[in-house]
Amino acid sequence: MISDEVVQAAIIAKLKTFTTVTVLLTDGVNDIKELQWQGDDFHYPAVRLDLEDNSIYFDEQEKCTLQEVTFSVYIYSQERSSKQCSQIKGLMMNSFIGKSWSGTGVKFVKIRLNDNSPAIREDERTWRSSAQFKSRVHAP
Amino acid sequence: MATKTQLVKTSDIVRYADRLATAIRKNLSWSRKLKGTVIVEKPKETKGGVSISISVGKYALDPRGKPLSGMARAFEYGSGIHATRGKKGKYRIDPFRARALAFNWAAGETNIRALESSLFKARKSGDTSNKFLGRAPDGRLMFRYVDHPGVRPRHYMARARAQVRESSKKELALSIRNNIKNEIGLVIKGMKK
Repeated sequence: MISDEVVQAAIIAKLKTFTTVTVLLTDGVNDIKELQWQGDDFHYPAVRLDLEDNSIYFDEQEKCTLQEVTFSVYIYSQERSSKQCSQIKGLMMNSFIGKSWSGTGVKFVKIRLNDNSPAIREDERTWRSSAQFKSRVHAP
Repeated sequence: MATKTQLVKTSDIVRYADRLATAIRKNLSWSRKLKGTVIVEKPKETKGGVSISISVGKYALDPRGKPLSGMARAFEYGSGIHATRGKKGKYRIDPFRARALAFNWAAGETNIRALESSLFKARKSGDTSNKFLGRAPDGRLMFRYVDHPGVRPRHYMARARAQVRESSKKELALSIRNNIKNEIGLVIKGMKK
């Protein structure tokens, strides 16, 4: 079983390679973190990863350990319009969808977009948009 | 890849919550404190489906350090003698920063003689529990504590729900139809392979 933190670290590492996204962030790659990150030093716009599910996928042939992961990427912005929030999400989605890659200790097979939530006002000043992805993962 | 059929997608629920939160903010435009505390929480996927919460006042604190959710609840359902839920009746408010509560009170001014008389009697008898403490130098009336009658309900959430119900019902029905159509399309596509 590939543990949650390995999957999460690999996705965050991949997100940090999307230069089209990181150039739009105030502090570059440092503004990409896990959703429940417990710090208070952060900037907007921000990118946050939420690993929602990481479970064994039972394949009949049992040739290899196969897991299915579901994760959401949230984009936060405090601009007056939702444009920046949507723009970052669009770039991130284009970089993710259909991609397969090997991270540290885990290989992702063809990332699929499962759901896409356009920008909403989380509170009076903060825009939030998100995209949910699914992928099968196995050991490289 | 075999997937669970999703009749209602997370994005459908998020869109509905956004509509509802916008309506709540609009209905709370009279309250500077509460208007900015309406938060659309993150959606949660459970085995039974998707859920999302909208909180009012949960993350903002009053001067005592308590969440404003109590205030939010009071203005939705009413409080004190106006409560539409729970126990009805006045509730006591004590000062916590100063030794007395001081405020301008029109009804108190009309009964000022009775208040002053109660203060006079208390002073004469050495009673230290009298509610009225006199007039402050700036003219406000001072009290040791008050029995607050509470606030009338404004039903800002119930009204918001009613405001978005019809349009959201239609939109959600359309989304469900599209989601079913897409799922069937995917199944047929899978069968052809």
